[in-house]
Parts: sequence; structure tokens; C-alpha cells
Amino acid sequence: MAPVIEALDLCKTYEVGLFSSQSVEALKDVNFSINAGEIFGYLGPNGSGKTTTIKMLLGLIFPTSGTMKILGREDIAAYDIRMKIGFLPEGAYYPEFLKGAEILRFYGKLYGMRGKALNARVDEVLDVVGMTHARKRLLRGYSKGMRQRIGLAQALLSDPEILILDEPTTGLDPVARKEMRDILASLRDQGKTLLISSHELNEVELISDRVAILDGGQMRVTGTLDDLLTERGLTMVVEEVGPEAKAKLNAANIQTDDEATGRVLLRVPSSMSTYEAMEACKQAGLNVTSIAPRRETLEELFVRTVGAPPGEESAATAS
Amino acid sequence: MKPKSYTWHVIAAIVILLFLSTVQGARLSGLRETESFYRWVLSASLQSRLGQTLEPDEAPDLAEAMDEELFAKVLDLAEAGLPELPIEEDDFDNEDNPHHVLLRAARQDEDKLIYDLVASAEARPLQDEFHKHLANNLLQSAGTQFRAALLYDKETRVEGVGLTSLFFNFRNFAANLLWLQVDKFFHRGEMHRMLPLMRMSVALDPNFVDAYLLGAWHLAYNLTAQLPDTPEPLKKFHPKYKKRLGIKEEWYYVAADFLKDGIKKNPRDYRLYFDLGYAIYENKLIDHAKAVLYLTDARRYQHDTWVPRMLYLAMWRNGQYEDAIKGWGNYLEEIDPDSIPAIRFIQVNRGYLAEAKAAQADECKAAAQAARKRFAELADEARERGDLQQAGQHESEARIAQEVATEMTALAEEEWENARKIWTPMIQMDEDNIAIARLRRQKAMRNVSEGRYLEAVAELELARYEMLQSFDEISDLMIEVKQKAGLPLTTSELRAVERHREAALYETEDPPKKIRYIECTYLDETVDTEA
Amino acid sequence: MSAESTAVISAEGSRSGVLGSYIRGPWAIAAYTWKEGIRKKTLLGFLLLSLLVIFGSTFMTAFMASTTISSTTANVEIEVEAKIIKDICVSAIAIFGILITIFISASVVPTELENKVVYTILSKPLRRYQYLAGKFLGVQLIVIANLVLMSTLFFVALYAKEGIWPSLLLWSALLTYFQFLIVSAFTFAVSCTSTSSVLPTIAGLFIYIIGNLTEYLQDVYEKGVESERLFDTMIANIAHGLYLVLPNLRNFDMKDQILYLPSNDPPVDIMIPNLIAYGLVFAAVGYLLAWVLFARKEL
Ligand SMILES: Nc1ncnc2c1ncn2[C@@H]1O[C@H](COP(=O)(O)OP(=O)(O)O)[C@@H](O)[C@H]1O
Ligand SMILES: [Mg+2]
Repeated sequence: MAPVIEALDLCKTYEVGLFSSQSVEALKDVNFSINAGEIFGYLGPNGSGKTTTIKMLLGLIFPTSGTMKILGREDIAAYDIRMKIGFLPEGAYYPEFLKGAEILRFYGKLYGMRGKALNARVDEVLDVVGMTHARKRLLRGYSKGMRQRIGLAQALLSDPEILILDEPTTGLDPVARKEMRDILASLRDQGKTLLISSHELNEVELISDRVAILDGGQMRVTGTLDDLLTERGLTMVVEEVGPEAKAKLNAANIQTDDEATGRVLLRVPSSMSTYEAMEACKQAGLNVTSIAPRRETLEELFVRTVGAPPGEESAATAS
Repeated sequence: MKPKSYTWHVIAAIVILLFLSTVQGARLSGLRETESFYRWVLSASLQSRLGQTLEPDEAPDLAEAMDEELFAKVLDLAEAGLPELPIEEDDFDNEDNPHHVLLRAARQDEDKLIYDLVASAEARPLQDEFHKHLANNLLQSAGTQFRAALLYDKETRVEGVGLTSLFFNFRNFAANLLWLQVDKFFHRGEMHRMLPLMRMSVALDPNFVDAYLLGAWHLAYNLTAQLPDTPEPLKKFHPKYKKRLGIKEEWYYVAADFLKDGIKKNPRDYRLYFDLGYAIYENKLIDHAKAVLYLTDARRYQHDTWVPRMLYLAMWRNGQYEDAIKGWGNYLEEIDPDSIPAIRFIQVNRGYLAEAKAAQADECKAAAQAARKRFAELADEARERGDLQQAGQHESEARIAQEVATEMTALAEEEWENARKIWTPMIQMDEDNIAIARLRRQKAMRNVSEGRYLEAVAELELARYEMLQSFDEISDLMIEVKQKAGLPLTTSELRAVERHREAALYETEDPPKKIRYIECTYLDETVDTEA
Repeated sequence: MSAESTAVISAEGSRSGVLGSYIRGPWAIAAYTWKEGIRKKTLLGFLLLSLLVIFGSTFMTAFMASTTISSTTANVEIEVEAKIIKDICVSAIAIFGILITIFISASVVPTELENKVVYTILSKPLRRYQYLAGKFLGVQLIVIANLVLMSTLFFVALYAKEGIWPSLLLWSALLTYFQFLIVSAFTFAVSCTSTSSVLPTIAGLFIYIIGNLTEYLQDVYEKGVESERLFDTMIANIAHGLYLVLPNLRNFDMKDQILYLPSNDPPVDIMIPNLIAYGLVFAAVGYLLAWVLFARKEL
């Protein structure tokens, strides 16, 4: 089966300023494909080009070179394609002078829905995102989380096959994040295809089937989580580590993380056996309080591939 | 399969539409030019009626004005191109020829006919000519309403800055502001500063009819009220109006011109004609014939009920008693069946008509008697010469004259009697002052004919205070009677005599033609009794 | 919040035919633009101001001390007041009408680009030109509603003052609208290149001024061709070319005159449909320009 979304050698260069020749290479030869029914995590630090890619997929901006296909078609703005896409843009931008339900009815009309069916559908998605209580309030009075929910609601309106969500959990509190994750998981269960961009890795890690890591406009890694997070090892917890001991541990290729409680977390690479690790601790004069097997996190993969933890600007600027 | 881009199609469509807009723009300019031409034809048609030529000779820089020439061509075209239009009663100006076809069409609201004519292909060369003259500023009769360019070139240019360019669409608004200023000047009593602002105000808004009305009123009444009368010898001949005018009279004419300018631009607003006829010609210039003319025009267009009333009064003053009777009759029939003035003035006019007939019969009698005497002399001369045939002819002519004289005596007697029959019941019923005055006047005339001059003067004295409207007329009559009787004149009467003498000295115009109420061959100039 | 309750309603089911989808989208946008417009505070302010002026015009004539000289003049004086009211109202409608038109035409698209609402709209099954059509239509609805409101008030003010029912005002208002339509269309086109409404607003005022000055170009041409110098004739020809292409808003001057003309004036009868056609052609040009300018705009 053909991939649902496909990007081939996608490049995007922004021309900055009217007359200056300055340009920003936001994307360089990006390739990926998303299959039906999977959740695709599109990851990268801020400014790495995630939003740029997504905007191109929705025809809001146009690629400098390369091609995109949605459901095998290049005319990504065609009606029948658009009918099957739900989009939640980054941040929340909605007409503020309308009420929650009004705004959804407006978007529904753009999908060609109307009448009772539309009203019923609006009520339904409001219920899904837990906004039924605020349906009669002007958007002007909404909190950030509420706006994000309305955004998700409008993306779900046409019951699309494909959902493209740009940073859906950014700015939400932990409870709301959890709820958002639940909704996304249930959407996957319904067989939808999801493209979720994020710079918050642990969120994505929990639900994604496959991820792509973007940095400086270039694709670094892409694959299923199982394939990517190959590195396994141990986590050990010890009490108080002096500088000398730390140096010794590091020399033995064990990473140390000071925790707030005063305990220290040791990350043992997979190449080291449990015995060897215990031995190293003993040599450093440390008392191990707990020991557990460990799978590599996305963050570690990220650090491994990109070099710095996400959160800093790292777009390549050329002139 | 790349998504299709329609950009070039759209750009092509834009180019096509721009072309279309250019075509439509050109069409609109054409229509607007036709509109200007049409409005000029309409207004020029009426101007030929305003008693002015189309090319006033006052402006020396317009020596080669083309108005008359162009309008004559348009008229030729109209005579050939317009269908037959009914000729109504009002379509004559006291002459036998009806008004030209364009004026009649304009006044019968056949705008569509006129428009179709001036928009036709045959009128095309004339239209081009019109615009050529307009651009070269050769049309005096074309007001500022025709093109904005003319406006800022001509009338509103202040220190080299075109005023209109400052106002865009808000010219009317500016006109109003100027008018408020005019009003302020008026209330401050700075009359002399009003005229330029008034002119500018109506130049900015040619449809500001109220400004024309109020402005003319200010000029003819409020301003002149402050001015002294000019003694006859100091009056100056005015080439434009072909009259000797004093300061006051000059302002009356300025006011009349102001109104006429308004009529050019708003040819269908009765108020302008009305004020021109009533406020200026009737009340200030005391030209009843002109007043009747313009009031007749005023009645032609959508008007208020006082317009016909003033017209019939003007007709009465102008001696058009029969017209006035007919008019008041219509008024009773069509407007107000219980109108007291209508009923009264029908009687008044009948009385006047009878008196006028009687007076003319008296005149005719005198003329016939004179003719009889002359013919008798001629017959005697012929008999002396031995020309018996000629003598017989003269004798028969003398006999005819004698018959006419007797006939006229009877007629005069009858008409005087008719008049009395009209006045007496009016006095009995309403103590009508006109009737009283007329009856006294009649009595005075009888007294004169019977040689009782002092009684006649006394009657006239009473009569003139009874009817102030004809104070001057009766006063003149009194002077005549006193002079005839050799009675001494009062100081003011002497002054009046002097004034008349001076006026007669400077008279440059023919006196207005008198209206004939009865037929009398001896009074017509064509009959030469001198032989 | 229960994810399970998402009973799948087929969006396809409630979608109608192809033509319907062509019209319904723009219409929804227009309706929503309209809604936004009437809830906008600035617009409301303008409108209130104009209504204030129209009503205030009744008092403005109080400047004129009305000392009566005679019954005739007193009569006329009252009529002058009515005329001044008429002119103030016409001017108020022209000024505030054009300001509202320019303001709203210049801002509907840029504000949406600025606050990025456009992202959620243009990612729907809706082509850009349809979006523009909807916006343009919405602007026209607002402009028409304003005009209708102001004219009605004018109507009422006149009626209260003069007791007359100037039906020609309707034609005048209609022509006024088509004049606004031209300015609106070009302002709208400019606004599609911008992400803020300041520039297009200035451009709109400029368009209005240029449109009113087009007539002068013809004078430049007439003066220029008379001249012997090459430079002058060149300028004259450029002026003539511009005169032909640029919209001439002076063509609509008739709208002010109509109020004073008789009701069956033949030039008016002929000009009105032609002026409407003129307005529509330029409106189409403006809209298509907006289409081209917006088609590949990076949002
Ligand atoms: N309109 C634009 N003009 C110029 N540069 C831009 C524009 N939009 C984004 N960029 C640059 O492109 C790079 C990628 O941006 P973006 O796709 O928004 O990143 P992300 O969504 O991953 O945070 C950034 O360096 C950003 O500064
Ligand atoms: Mg982003």
C-alpha cells in the first residue's frame, strides 16, 4: 500500500527581507513517508523546520524544490484530499469574536456540512475534547488549553483519515497532556493516520509508532521506536558521589546524574555487564541502593544524534 | 500530476477586463459629453427666452462667442428632427410666432426627445463643435455645471489655486460653508462683501437654488434699501440692459442676472422664474410685461398655488384683463372653487376691462370726430378745386367718421355704465376699496368732462388714498386735471412734473405698445387721415 | 472526556454537489466576515460617528441666525437649512462611507494573516480564490449594510425636517455603492500582499484620491498636446494612457446631482446602468488581481 503522506527531497529556503539577499534554509532534502494507521512523531528542536514542513503539507507555503504526496496525489489542495485531513496548527489562532460552538459550525460549513448533521457533529467533537461546558462562550475568554482543545475539535470535525498536529501538547498542563494523549491514542485505535510534531520528546515517545528527528532542517534519523532505541543498559542508584568517584565512573563509561534528593543516578551502557558495573561502583567506593534494567529514551537518542538536548535554536543560517 | 496553476489565465482575464473597463470608461466619457451637450441645449433653449441674447456683449474677451451660431445649428437640426409638438397658449411672447420647437419641447417635458436628438449621429458634429468651443471658452451660455475643469479655471480660481481640487466630492459642502459666511456678512450689515461669496457658492454648487433666491433677494431688497435714489440726470446708460440706470436699478439688474444664471443651471425650478418675475420685475423694476412673461414660465413647471395668483395679478397690472379673467376662472375651476381673491379679481378685471373699453371708445370718438372734421375740410377743398368726385368721396368718409363717433359715444356710455354696474354691488357688499376708488375716479372723469375741475380733484384725492396700489397713477391723473384747469400744483406735484420731463428727455426706448380693447380704425397708425 | 464516544459521522454524507461546494465555502466565509465586521469596535465607532453627524446636521444649521426680513425670505431660509442638512448628510455618507469601505477592505485579509486564523481556514477544502471571494463578498455585505443604514437615517432626517420622501436618494445610494465597490476592490487587492492593514489602508485612501484626480489627467493631456515641446507631449500621452486605464471616480459625480434633477432625466437613466457596469468591471479586475497576488503568497 502507498504511504499516506510522502515527502521527497523537500527543500525550503526562506527569503528574508524584500531586497536583501539573505535567505534561511529551513529544510534541506527532507524525505519521509507515513503509512496508514500509524502515529508518526516528527521531532526536532525549535527552529528545526517542523512547522515549515507541515505548512507545506497544507499548502500554506510552497516548497523551493522537492515534492509532496498525500494519498499518492501531488495536488495536495484538492477538495477530496482536504476532506480527509484535519489540521491543528501550532499555537492556537481562532476568530476571537465567535463562540466555541459557532466557530466549529463555521469550520464545519467549510467542509460542506450543514444543518442538523453539522450541529450534531459539533456537539460530538465538543464532547470528545471536553469543551461542552464552554460551547456558548466567546473564544476571547478561553484559556490556552481551551483554545488548544477547540483547535483539536475543529481538526476532528470532518472525521478525517489523516490528522496533522503541530505541537499539540505545548503549553498544556500535565492533566491536559494526559487527556490529549488519550484522545490521540483512541484516534490511532480508530485507524487514523497521525503526524505529530513536537519538541517534547517524552510525550511523543509514549504514543508514537515511528519517529523522524529533524535538526537544522535536515533529517537525522527516521524509523520505528523499536528500531531506533536499540541501546539498553542498567540504571543504578547510589548515595553521594564525590568528584574523584565521579571521574572514576566516567572513566569507566558510566554517566552520572545528580538528583535533587541528593542521590545519584548512574547510567550504565549496554556494553557493560551488571557485574562489571557493580565492580566499578565498588572500586569507586559507592554504595548501590537499587539496580534495574533500562531502555534508552528518545532524549538520549536525540542527544546522540543531534548533539544537544532539544530546546535550543539550531537552524542552519546561510547567506 | 502537478497541481494546475491558473495564474496565467487569471492574468489574461485581468488584461481583458482592463480593456473592457477602458472601453466602458470611454463610453462613459462619451455619455457624459453627450450629457453636457444635452444640458447646454436644454439651458440654451431656455436662455433664448430669458430676454437675453446668448452672447451678452458685456464681456469683451468673449467677442467671438459662438453660442448663437451653434444654437442656430442645433435649432435647424431640431426643426427637422423633432416630431410635431402641440403649440400651447403660453407658447407666444405677445407676438404671432410661437416659441421655437426646442423651447416648446423643453417646456413640455419632452426631455427624452431632446436627448435622443442630441445623442443621435446627426448631432455628432454639433456635439464636437460644442466641446471644442467649450474647451476654448467660447460659450458664454455654458455655465460651470458642465465641466469641473471649467469650474476651477473660471469662477473659483483664487490666487491661482483651483478650489475644486481641494474639495473632491464635497463641493456642495463647501458651497454651504460659503453660504453661512454670506449669511454672517448679511447679519453684520456688510452687504458689499456678499456678492463675491454668493457667486462662488453657486459656482461650487450650481444646484443651490436657495442661494440664488436668497442672494437675489439680498441684492434687490436688503442691499438697495441702503442706497440713495439716483436723480435722473445722474443715471447712466447701461449698454447691456440698454437703459439708463441709477445705482439701485443697477443692483436690481444684477439680482435679475443672478436669478437668470440660476435658471440656466436649474431651468425647471419655478421659484427662480417666480422671483425673477415677481420680486424683481414686478416689484422693483415695475416692468409688468416682463413679470407676466416670467410668471407664466414659473407656472409651467411644478409650482405652488401662489404662482398663478401672482401671475393673474401681474396680468391685471399689465392691462391683460381678459387673460386675467380667464386665469382666475381656471383658478376657481381647478384649484380653489371658493377662492375669494379669484371671485373678487374676476370682477375687478371686468370693471377695468369695461373702463378701458370706455376710455378707448372715448379716445376713438375723439379721433373719429377729428377725422370727420378733417374729411369735411378735405371735401370743401375738393369742391373748390371742382373735383366733385373726390369731394363726394371725402364727404362719405366724413359721414362714416360721424357714424363711428356716435357709435363710440354710445359704446363709451355703455361701458362706463357696465363698469358702474360692476363696482356698485362690490361696494355695497364688501365696501371693496378698489371698487370705491374706481367709482370715484370715474366720477372725477365725468366731472372733468363737465368742467367741474375742483370736484374732480377732490374725488381723485379720495380715490388715491382708497387704493394705494394705484396711488401714482391717480396722482398723475390729478396733475393732468389740475394743469387742464389751470389750478396750482403742490410742491411734490411740481417735482413729479419735473421728474417726468427729465425722464422724457432721456427716454431712449420706444414706449410699450398699448393693448387695444376695442376696434377702432382711427386709432391705428396705419390709417392715414392726413392723406 | 471520552474518546470512545467518537461515533463516526460521515462528513461525506452531509456534503452536497460540486457546485454547492464551490459556493458554500465562500458563502460561509462571507457570513463569518460579516459577523466579524459587525462585531468590530472600530467599525461601529465610525458608524456611530457618521450617524451622529447625520443627526447633528439638524443642529449645525443653528449657526445661521434666522432674523426674518419678510415672510418670503423666512421661507427660503428654512429651505436653506434643509439643503444644508442634505449636503452634510451626503458628505457624511461619502466621507464615512469611503473610510469604512477602505478600512474594512484593507483589514479583513491582513488581520487574518496576522493572527494566523487563515491557517485553519485555508487547510480546509477551500481554494484560496474561494477564500478571497468569500472575504470580498463579506466586505461588500458590510459596506452595503453601512450604506443602507446611513441612507435610511438620512432619509429619516430629511423626512423629519422637510416632510419629503426623496426616492431619488435610492439611486444616489446605489451609485455611491458602486463607487465604493471600485475603491474596495483595489484596496482589497493591495491588502492581499500585506500582513498588516496599515499599508493597504493608506493605499486605499490613495486609490480614492487618484480615482478622483483621474479627470485632471485629461486636462494635462489637453494642455500638453497643444505644446510644441517633445517632453510635454510625452507627458500628455502618458497622462492620456493613465486616464484611459485608471478608474475615474468622477464618473460617479452624478450620484450627487441626482438629488436635484427631475425624476425622468434621460442622461441619468442611461448613465446608471453604465456606471453599474463600470463598477462591476473594475470590481472584477480588483478581485482577480487579489487572486493573482494571493495565489502563491507564503502564509
Ligand atoms: N517566514 C519565515 N521567514 C524566514 N524564516 C523563517 C520563516 N518561518 C520560519 N523560518 C525559519 O525557518 C526555520 C524553521 O522554522 P520552523 O519550521 O518554524 O521550526 P520549528 O517548527 O521546527 O520550530 C527557523 O530557523 C525559522 O527561523
Ligand atoms: Mg514549530
